[in-house]
Amino acid sequence: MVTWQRLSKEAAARTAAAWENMDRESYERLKDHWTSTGPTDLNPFYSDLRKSIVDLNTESKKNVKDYSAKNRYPADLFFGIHLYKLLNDCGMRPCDASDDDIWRYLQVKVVPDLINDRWKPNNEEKRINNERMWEHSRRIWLKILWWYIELSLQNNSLEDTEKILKNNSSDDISQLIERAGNGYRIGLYRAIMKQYGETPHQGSTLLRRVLKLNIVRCATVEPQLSSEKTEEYVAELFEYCRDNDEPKQ
Amino acid sequence: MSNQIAVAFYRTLSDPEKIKELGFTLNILGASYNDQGTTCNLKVSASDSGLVEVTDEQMKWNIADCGLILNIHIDLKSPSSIYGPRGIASSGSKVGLALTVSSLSSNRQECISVTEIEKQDSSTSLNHTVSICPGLYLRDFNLQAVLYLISSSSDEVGFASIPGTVLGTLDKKYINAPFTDLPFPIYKVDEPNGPLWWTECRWTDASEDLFTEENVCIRINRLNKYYDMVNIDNKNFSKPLISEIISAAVQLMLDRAMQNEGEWNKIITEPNLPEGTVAAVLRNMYDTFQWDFSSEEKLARSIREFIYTEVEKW
Repeated sequence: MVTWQRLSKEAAARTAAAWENMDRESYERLKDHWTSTGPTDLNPFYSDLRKSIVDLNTESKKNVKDYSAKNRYPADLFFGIHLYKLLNDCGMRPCDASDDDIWRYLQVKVVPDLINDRWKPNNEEKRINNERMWEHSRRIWLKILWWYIELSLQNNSLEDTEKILKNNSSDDISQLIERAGNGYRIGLYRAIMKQYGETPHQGSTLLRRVLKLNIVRCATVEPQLSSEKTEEYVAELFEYCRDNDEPKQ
Repeated sequence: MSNQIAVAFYRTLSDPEKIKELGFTLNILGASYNDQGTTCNLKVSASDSGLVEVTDEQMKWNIADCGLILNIHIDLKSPSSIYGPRGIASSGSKVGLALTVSSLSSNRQECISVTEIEKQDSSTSLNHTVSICPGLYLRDFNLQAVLYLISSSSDEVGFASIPGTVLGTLDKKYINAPFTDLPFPIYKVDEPNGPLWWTECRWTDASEDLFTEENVCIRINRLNKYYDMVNIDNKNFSKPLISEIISAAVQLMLDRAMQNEGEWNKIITEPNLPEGTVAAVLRNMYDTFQWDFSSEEKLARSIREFIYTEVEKW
């Protein structure tokens, strides 16, 4: 069983601060070093893992039609699905995927250049998008890709999962991940994503509305204790959202 | 920040006196895990506040790799009072007991139906096993016993009618499976030349950040020359010293939270703080332990009175 390395929030913050405080020349040298030989001090497992993730990232841009900076979703989906398989094949379990320190190590120590390339900082004076790199639990990029696939998994098949996710958008990823409540109801979320994938999309708000309505309903009715099957419960959520205005929380 | 008020148009179990009248108790009889076909027992320490610490004296188990089996016993002395005009379910309906297992740190929750509560029963008593599979939970979870509606009769108003409606929470336990052998957020480090202990408070939003090592903890330095005095396995272990350390650390955590008046006000007044967060844990301390917050000196004293008493029980 693999022993995942961990990086605390404090240590990640120190590393990111060090990058920000470097003089420009040193930082450019560091970035070149990342892309040419990769970060140093990686053990053999992480060296191999880095190579695999970098190759996946490159492939995600080549194999996706109409790749563009404006529409990254198809590339993100390709990358996410294959990353999910890669990490699970390495022994990642749901409990590991819940450990932010594991993701911080992966992002800050193993593939910082990939995260930097995908997520530019919001502030032009900054070099790192800290939120996506290490800071915000529900925005750590590789983590949310893994959980996006986990919460959408169909029939234990990545092929079936890809089919129901292919027409979604980047906004759908955030909508799904950021509504954890007291913890995801995994089976329910998979059913919601299946229904969403099979429903002609009505603009970008349908999933958000369904998820919000679900949170509201779950405050009083526990779907897992309902006499309705999960699919019936989910169908009713979608029907309600199609027929009514957005529920207010 | 939006203010939310939950309004139920049906009866629910919210009155503590009513819950008491039902005579519900949930006790953890024991905990164990399966190691290649062999059942290995774990140590369970339960407190009145609902905190249940599960540890392995052999130091081989953790919940992520090994899973957990909890054997629980449930008593419900007056089930018939659930039904009818004075109850929370109509006479013609069926009510069930369920257990919810939820964990913010592990990003998951699930709900298991346990039994139907027959209205003609004079009392209900049963044993149940909660099985946590390896690989799913990171370190802790909440276990709640809830009443829910199985089916309803439509002839009585004022009662829930939708199957699956949660009618109330009977009991709540917080199951903690720390890697440490002390029941507080204490983590050991090896720091040459460092002090014996210190506190780290790194949360940025108490209502979002979890009460876990990355956000708040007490560090004990194994390389300090006085470490033996805080090592529970050492003959020089000193209860007064560890009591003083925990008391000072807890007061530092509270001081940190109280520095931000708005955040502190939210911690002590917000009705539905997310479970497992720094805010929820501090709120629990505020509500449960009867510490005196009227001045810093009185707070220091009341914390110590409590902690010294608790540590004395170890």
